[in-house]
Amino acid sequence: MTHQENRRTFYLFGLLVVLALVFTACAAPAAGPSTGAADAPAVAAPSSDLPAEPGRGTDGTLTLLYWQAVSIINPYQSTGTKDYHAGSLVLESLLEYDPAGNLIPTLAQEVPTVENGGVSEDLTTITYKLVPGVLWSDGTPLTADDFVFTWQYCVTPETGCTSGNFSAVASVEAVDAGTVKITFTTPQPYPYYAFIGYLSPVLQKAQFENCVGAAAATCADANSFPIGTGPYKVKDFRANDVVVYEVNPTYRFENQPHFAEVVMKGGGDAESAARAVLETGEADYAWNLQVPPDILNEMAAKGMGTVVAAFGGNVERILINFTNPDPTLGDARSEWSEADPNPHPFLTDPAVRQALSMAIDRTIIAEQLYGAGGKPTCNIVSGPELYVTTTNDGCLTQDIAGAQALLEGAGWVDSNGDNVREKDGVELRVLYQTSTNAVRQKTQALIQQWWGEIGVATELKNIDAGVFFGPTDNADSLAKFYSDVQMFTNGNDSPNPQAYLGGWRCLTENGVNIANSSNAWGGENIERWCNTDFDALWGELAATADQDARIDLVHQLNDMIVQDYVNLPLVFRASVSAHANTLQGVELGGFETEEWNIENWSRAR
Amino acid sequence: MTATTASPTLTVKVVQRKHRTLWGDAWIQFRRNRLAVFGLIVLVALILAVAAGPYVYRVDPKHIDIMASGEAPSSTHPFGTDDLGRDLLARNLYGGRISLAVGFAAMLIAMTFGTTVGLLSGFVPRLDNFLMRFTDMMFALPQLPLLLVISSLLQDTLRRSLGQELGAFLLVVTVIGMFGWMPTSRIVRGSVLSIKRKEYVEAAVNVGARDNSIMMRHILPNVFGSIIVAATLEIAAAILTESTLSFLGLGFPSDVPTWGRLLYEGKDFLTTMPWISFFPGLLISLTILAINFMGDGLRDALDPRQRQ
Amino acid sequence: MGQYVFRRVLTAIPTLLFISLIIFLLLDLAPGDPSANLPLSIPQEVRVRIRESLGLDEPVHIRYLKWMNQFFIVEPTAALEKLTGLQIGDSENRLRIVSWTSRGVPVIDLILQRLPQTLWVVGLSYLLSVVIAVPLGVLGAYHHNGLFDQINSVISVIGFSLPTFFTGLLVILVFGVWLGWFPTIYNTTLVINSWETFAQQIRQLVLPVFVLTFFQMAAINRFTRSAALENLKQDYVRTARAKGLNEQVVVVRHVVRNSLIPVVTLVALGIPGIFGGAIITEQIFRVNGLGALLILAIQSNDVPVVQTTLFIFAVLVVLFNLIADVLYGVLDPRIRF
Repeated sequence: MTHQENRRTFYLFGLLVVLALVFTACAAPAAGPSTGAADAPAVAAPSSDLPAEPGRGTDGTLTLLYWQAVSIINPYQSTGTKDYHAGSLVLESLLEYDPAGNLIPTLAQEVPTVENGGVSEDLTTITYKLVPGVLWSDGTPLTADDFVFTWQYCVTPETGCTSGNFSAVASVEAVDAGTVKITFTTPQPYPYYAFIGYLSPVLQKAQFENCVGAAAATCADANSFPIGTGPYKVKDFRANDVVVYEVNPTYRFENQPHFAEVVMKGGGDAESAARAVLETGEADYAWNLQVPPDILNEMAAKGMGTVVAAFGGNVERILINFTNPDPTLGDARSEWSEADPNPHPFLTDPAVRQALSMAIDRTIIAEQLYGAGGKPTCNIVSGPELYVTTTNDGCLTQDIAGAQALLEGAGWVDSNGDNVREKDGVELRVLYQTSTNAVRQKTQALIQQWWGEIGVATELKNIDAGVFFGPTDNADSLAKFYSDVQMFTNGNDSPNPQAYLGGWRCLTENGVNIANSSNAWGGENIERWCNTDFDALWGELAATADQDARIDLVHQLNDMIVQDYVNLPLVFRASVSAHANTLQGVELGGFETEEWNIENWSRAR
Repeated sequence: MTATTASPTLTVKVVQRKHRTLWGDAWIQFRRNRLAVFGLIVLVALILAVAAGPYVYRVDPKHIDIMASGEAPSSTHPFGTDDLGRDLLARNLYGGRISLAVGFAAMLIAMTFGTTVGLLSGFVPRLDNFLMRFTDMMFALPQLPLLLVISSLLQDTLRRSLGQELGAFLLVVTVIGMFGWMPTSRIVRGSVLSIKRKEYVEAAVNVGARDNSIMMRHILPNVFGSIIVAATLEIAAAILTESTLSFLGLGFPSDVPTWGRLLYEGKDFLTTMPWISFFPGLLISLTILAINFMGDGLRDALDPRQRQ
Repeated sequence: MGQYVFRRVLTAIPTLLFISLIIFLLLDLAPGDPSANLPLSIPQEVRVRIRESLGLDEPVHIRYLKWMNQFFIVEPTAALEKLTGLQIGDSENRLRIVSWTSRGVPVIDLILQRLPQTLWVVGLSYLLSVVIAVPLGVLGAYHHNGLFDQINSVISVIGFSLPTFFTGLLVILVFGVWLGWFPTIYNTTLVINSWETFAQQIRQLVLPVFVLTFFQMAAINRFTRSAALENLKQDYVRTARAKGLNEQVVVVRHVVRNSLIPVVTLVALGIPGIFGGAIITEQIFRVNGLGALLILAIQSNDVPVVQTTLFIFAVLVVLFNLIADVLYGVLDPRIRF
C-alpha cells in the first residue's frame, strides 16, 4: 500500500507540474517584456534588395489579413463589406473620397458642379467627362457605354444587385464615348451617389453582358475575376479563403502600383490578425481589429507595426422604443400606427429617457472598450467634421445624481424598497438587447450597472448577429424591436448625411416610414418616433443646395433627435487597422476602402 | 489485484459476506482506492464551494469597478479582477454553480438516453435498424441551424413561463443532452453486440433468464466502463458547450459568468491578464479529473473480479 | 454478412432521403438571410430583390425538388463530363448547385478546393491521434493505476477539458510569437514542388495538427484504456498466460483485438467528422478548410453550400457506421445482427 501511496503523491505532484507549466506559459510575457518578436520570421523583403525608388511591381508581395474572408469580388453581388474592399483593388468609379471626405476624380476628369456646368441648374442631371485613354486590364478601352451597361445591370431586378446607389437615377446615357450623363428622377442638391466610391464602380460591358438578370447568379468567372481599370487584377481566387492579385499591365499610371503581388488572406479572428502584423510580422496589414484596447496597445508597443483608425460616420447608439413591447400584447407589441401609436409605458416620458442618457459614462466605454476604435459622442451625426455640432457635448459628463434627481422630480420613486423606481404601479424595468459581440456585451454590463444606480433594472439579451441584423420576419430582428432599448451601430456611409437622417422621418412620400406590420417592418424608423416637425425640416434639407444652409439644417436635425433622447449616442466608431512599419503610403479615410490608394503603397526604404 | 493476492482476499470475503450488500461492498472497495477518494473529496469540495461560497464570500460577481480593472490575484481579490474590474473569485464561484449543474444534468440526460438506445438496439434486433438510423440522422443534423430554430421557437416561451435563468437552464441542458448521446449509444450497442454472444450470456438465456434481467445483470455492468468514460467526456463537453450556446443567444444571458464563458472571455487577455482564464481552466480540469478518478474507482469497486 | 450489407445499403437510401428532407426543412425554418451581413444603409427593397433573385420566394417543396435534381442528376453529369471530357447534353446552360455568397461558383468546386487542406490538417491529426492514443490506452490499462497510467490520465483529462480555442492560442503565443519557430497562418496556395516547399508545408502543419491531436487523442485514449481494462481481467487472458504465452502476444493478440469494438465505433464515427472539418482549429490557424466553409455558409445563410456539405456529411456518417458494423463481425466472428 505505501508503495502505491507514493505513486499517488507523485501523481498529484505531476498534476501540479503540468498545470504550473500551463500557467507559466500564460504568465511568462506578463512577467517581463518578450524578446521573441525579434527572432520571428520576417516576411518583408530585406530593404537592400529594393531599387532606390519604387517602380511598378518592384516591392515584392504585400499580405493583407481580412479575418472575414472575401466571398466575391463583384461588389454588386456582395453581401458584406469585406467584398467591397476586395473589389476596390480592381474596379474603379468616377469619383472617390479622400481621407478628409472630399470628392476627388478617379475615372472622371473633374468633379462636376453647378459652377463648372457639370450639374444642370435645375439639379436634375450630372455630366462626367472620362479621363481619355483608360484601358481595361484586357487591353480594350473604357467607354461611356460601360457605365450605361453597369446601370442597366444593377437596375434589372432579377440581377439581385445589392447597391442602392442608383435609386434616384432615371437614366444613364452615353453622350459620346467619353461622356456620361446621368438624369435623376427629382432634383438632387447632392447628386454624388451613382458611380461614386467603392460601392458603385463601373463594370466591363463585354465581360458582364451575359450576366444580367437571372444569369447573374451563374456568372462565376465574371464575379470572381472581374476585369477592371484599377491597379491590380485577380490572379487566383478561392472563395472565403484567399485572393491573389497581380499588377494590371494596362494601369494608366506609370511606375504604379509598387507591389508586384497582393495576397488578401481571410479567416481567423481579429486578435490573431493583429498579432500576425504587430508581433510575428507574418502579414503587412490587418483590417477591422476590434480587439480590447489594452491588448492592441501591448502588441503595438513591440514596435513592429502601427495601429491606425479611420473615422467615417458610424455611431454606436442605444435606440429607445417609443411603443410598448410587452409580450402579453402578442402581435400588437411594438406595433405603431397613426391611429394607435401604442405608447411605451414609461419610455415616452422624456425625463426617463434623459435620465438614462445622463447615467452613462461615455468616456469610460470609449476608453476601456474601444480604445483607438472610438471616441465618446453625443451626436448621431458625428462625422464628417463639418456637420458636427458641439451643443450637446454636455452629455459627455456622467451625472448619476442629476439623473436621480430628474427621476425623483418626475415622480419616479422607489416606494417598495426593491431598488427599482416606480410610478402608478409601473416599474422602471427595461429589456436591453443587442447582437452577440464581446465589446457590446461589456457595454451592456457597464450600462446595466449605471442604470441600476439610478433605480432602473436592466435585463440583458444578446442575439446572434445573423438573426439580429437579418430578415425582419424574425422576432429577434432589430426591426421588430421586441425590447425596450437596443444597441447597434449605424451611420452615414457617404459624407452627406441626408439619406441617413431621412431614416428618422415618420411619413415619407412612399407612406409610413416607421417599421411596422404595414411595411413588413421595412421602415427605417425603428424607434417608432413620430415628429412631423422633423419630417418638414428634413424636406427642407432635401431641397436645399447651398452648403452652409445644409450644414445648419443637419445640425438642427441632429439636435432634434438627440435632445429628445430618441437615440442615446455612445461612441463614434472607427475602423481600426494595423500595418507593418515596413509598409508605407497607408492613408485611411472613413468613406473609402482602406485600399483606395494602394497604388501608392510601397516598402519602407 | 493480480493472481498472487487472490488467496488472502478470498478468506476475508467468506467471513464478511454475510452482513454486506453489493453497494456496501463496493463502498469498502471504493474507499481503498486513494485516487478515487481524492476525486470524491475534490468534487465534494468544489460542489460545496460553489453552493456555499457566494454566501461566505459576499462580493457581487456583477459589480464593475473600473478603477480596479485587471488586478492580479491579491488578498483583496484572491483570483484577481477582469478587464472591467469585476472580482473573479466571486464570478468563478457563482459561475461554477451553473457550469456544474449544466454539466451533470446534461450528462445524465445524454447517458440515460444514449445507454437506453444502445442497449435496446444491441439487444432487440427488431429495433436495431430503426434506432441506429435515427442515431445516424441525429449525427448528420446540423447543430447550428437546429439551435437557432429551437431558440427562435422556444426561447421567449420558456423565458416567460419559467423565468430567465431556469428557462435558460432547461433549454441548455436539453439541447446539450440531445446532441451528446449518439456516441454513447453506438458504443454501448457495439459492446452489447459483442457481449451478448459471450458464453455466460448465452448460458443465462438458455436457463431461461428474462431479457430484462439479462440486460440489467449481465450486460449493463459489462458496458459500465465505457459509459463512465463517455460520461466524463460528456461533462467536459457540456461545460464548454454551454458557453458557445450563449454566443448564439441561446444560453444564459451574457451577464451570467459561467466557467466556459470566463475561459472564453479570458482568452483575449492571455498575455496581459492570464488569471482570467487560468482559474476557470483549472476548475474545469479539476472537475473532470475528479469525476474521472471517481468513475474509475466506481467501476473497479463494482467489478467482482477486482475485489481485494 | 453479404446479405446484411446489401440490406443495410438498401435501407440507407430512404434514410438519406429523409435526412436530406429534414436538413432542408431545418434550413428553411432557421432564421437568417443572405442579406443579413449587408451594411444597414442598404434599403429594404434591395434586400427583397436579393431574396427574389436567389429564388427564395419559391415554395419550399419546389426548392427541395430542384435541389434533389441538381444533386443527383446535374452534378453527377457535370462531374462525369469533367472526368471523361465528353459533352453530355447542354452543358452551357446546366443549372449546377452554386453558392449564394460567391455567386456562380459551384458548391462542389468550393468543396474540392478545400479538401486538400482539410485532409492535411484534420485527416493527419486524426490519423496521428488514433496511432498514438490506442497504444497509450492499452499501456495505461496494462499498468493500471501505475505511474504511467496516472500521467496518461492527467494529460488526457487536460486534453479534453481545455477547448481548442484555448490550446490553439497558447501554442500560437509560445511557438509562434515568443519562440518564432512555426508560422501561425496556414498558406493554402502553397504548391509543394520541392523539398523546400515540403518542409514549409510540414512547418505550417505542426501547430494546428498538434492542437487537434492533443484534443482528439483524449477520447480514443480513455475508451481504449477502459475497454482494455475490461478484457485484461477476463478469464481467457489468465488462460493464455497460464498456457505460457509471452506477455506481448497476450496483450496484442488477445486483449487489443477484443478491446477494439468500442474503439472501432469511436474511430468510425470520427471519420465523417474529418469531412466536417475542425471549425475552431481551422479558424485559429486560417486553414479555411471544410469546417470553415460550413460555418461561414451557415452564418451568411448560403443555403446551397450548407445543404450540399451537410448531405455529403450525412452520406459519410451512414457509410462509416456501416463499415463499423462490418468490422465488428471481423473483430468478433460471433457477432450477428
